[in-house]
Amino acid sequence: MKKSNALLLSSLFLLFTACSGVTSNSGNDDSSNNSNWLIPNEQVINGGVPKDGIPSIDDPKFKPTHEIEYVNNERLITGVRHGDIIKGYPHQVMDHHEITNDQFGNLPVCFTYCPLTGTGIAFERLIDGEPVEFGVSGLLFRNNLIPYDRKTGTNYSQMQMRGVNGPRKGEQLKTLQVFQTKWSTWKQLFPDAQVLTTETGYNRDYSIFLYGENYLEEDTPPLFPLTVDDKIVQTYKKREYIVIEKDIDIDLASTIIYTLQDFDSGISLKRGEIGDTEYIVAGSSDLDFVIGFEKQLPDGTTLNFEPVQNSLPVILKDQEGNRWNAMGRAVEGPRQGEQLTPTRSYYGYEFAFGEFFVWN
Amino acid sequence: MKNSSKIWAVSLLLCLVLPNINLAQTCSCAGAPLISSQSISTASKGNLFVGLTYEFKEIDNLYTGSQQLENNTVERNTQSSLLEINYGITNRLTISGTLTYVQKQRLSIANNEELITRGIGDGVILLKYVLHQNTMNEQYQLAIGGGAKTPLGKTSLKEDNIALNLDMQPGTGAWDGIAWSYFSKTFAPASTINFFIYNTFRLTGSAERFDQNDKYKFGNEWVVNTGITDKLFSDLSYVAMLSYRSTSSDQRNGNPLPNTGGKWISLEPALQYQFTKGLSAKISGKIPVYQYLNGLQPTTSYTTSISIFYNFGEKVIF
Repeated sequence: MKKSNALLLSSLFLLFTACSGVTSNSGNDDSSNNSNWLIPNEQVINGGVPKDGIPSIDDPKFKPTHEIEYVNNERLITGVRHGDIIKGYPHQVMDHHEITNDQFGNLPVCFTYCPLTGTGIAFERLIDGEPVEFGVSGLLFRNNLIPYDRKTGTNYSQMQMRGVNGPRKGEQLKTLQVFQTKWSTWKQLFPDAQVLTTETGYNRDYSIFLYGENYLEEDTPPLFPLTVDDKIVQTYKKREYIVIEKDIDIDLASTIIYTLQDFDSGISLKRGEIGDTEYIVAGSSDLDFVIGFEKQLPDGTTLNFEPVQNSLPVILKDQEGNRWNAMGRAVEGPRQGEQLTPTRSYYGYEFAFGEFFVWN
Repeated sequence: MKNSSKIWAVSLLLCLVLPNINLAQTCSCAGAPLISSQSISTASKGNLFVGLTYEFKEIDNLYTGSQQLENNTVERNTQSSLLEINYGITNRLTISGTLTYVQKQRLSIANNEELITRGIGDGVILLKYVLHQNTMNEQYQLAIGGGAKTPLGKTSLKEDNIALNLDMQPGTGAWDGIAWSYFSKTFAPASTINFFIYNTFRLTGSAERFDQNDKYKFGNEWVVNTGITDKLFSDLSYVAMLSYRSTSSDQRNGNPLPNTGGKWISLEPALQYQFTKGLSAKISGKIPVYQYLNGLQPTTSYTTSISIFYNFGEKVIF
């Protein structure tokens, strides 16, 4: 090879590598140190999409349950109640959007659903009395959704239900009662409730399993690694229901976890106590629901509940002759129209509760 | 201007321009085009054949299966420059090396937030062996090759001190094995058309991401290119190529990941101009014809590239 050619090649290589470098430019670069998190920031990861890369539904459209045709009987839906208003959010739509900014009468509400941890939680979306929209930050903490609010930019841990980074760090979000079941049961329980339609403003195929049908299987691990050696985990996706002690910081609150499969095929009850509160949890593995209520009414009366079989939407009765539906509303009896106090609860996968409340 | 000076000038221009252009990758379609952009050159003994390619890939289509959806959330693009060097060890054996520089851009349409990452990407080293040389009596050429993709690129870029997803990193962090084969057929003296088909298979390795519990493996990739090339005028040639690409789903700790992997068929026209005996340039495009993507994925809407090649010796076998 001629000397001049060798020189040219060397120059080309040097030029090529000299142009190389590593910078990140999205408001911050990798030299910044935004580690001011309430949670272990090394466990906060980028899920693969940018902020709002998963688009929230900001103008949701609803139809009554009996007019909805796109939901398969075995697929799940989470209902949210505020006062007399019940709305349902099918997971096959929420898989694509994760957040719906909604309105329950005069109350702005944000329903959040994390497909990776299977957790659906509804929050009041008010800051200083003003409505605020929430969006998907694109970040995850232990596989779980980190929503952010579009007013202050605060990042929230969905499962911890509080701000974890930003101006509202440490502030607890106010939750609403949620109820999760499969569509076939929902239709029997809440035939007139409003259900989210596929008119979301986005062109998506809502019939698919966005994370694959096998993601829902018990032995399929989550998308991102656990914080513990997963050899200790036998199953990942058993569906569970958590009861969290009220009015206590999430770090200090006691929790009791129920597994759907631990309930009979018919409706059965489990009784428990958390803090000073006595409660009951009603569930059915066949009907695919678990729901918890405090035993004591606001007037101080303590009720003794019994399950009611084959009478949906009624699931409970008490010693006074009242019959209660799955959202804890008395539909017959002397207390007709009264509401039981729900436990501080939501649904999720076994591994998620392990990560947030058991293993760490 | 001497040829070597011309190369210098073009290279310098490319490198000056690159950092100012918005560069990026997606789930299954966003890395540096190490495989699909491999030149098919094999050099004769003592010959050195160098190529410099710049490629722009726009990734703003959204598909589920073969159904295109409206994309109004995220736009991405990847810009890559590749330096490819082929050297003929013997008349049959060629060593080929590729270095890359990658820039990836991701735009969230809703809030106009933009993320740009850039850096040296992964490299490739290949050995190519000619099994059959083209002769007047037996007008076909057959070559095979093998090598590795080397994890030269960085995989630890962060934003706000949070590690970015692998598809926004310049590198993959993994060693991959590569198998390559090439066949071409000429029809002289009846025609100057050259038919070719070459295919590349990449057996991907795993890379540890955040800790030892997180082993990420991009899906195996198979690319087949077939087409014809012929002279339009004395120094101007065309290439009409059809490309099929298939990738399996990515895996994390051995478990397939949703919304990764798929199949693509695209049309790739190109024009090549021979400036001098040693210096040539090529401009090409890639237009998707059909794709079937697992789950929901963004994918390439079009690709354009420009290349310059310089042959320091007398002869390029093909």
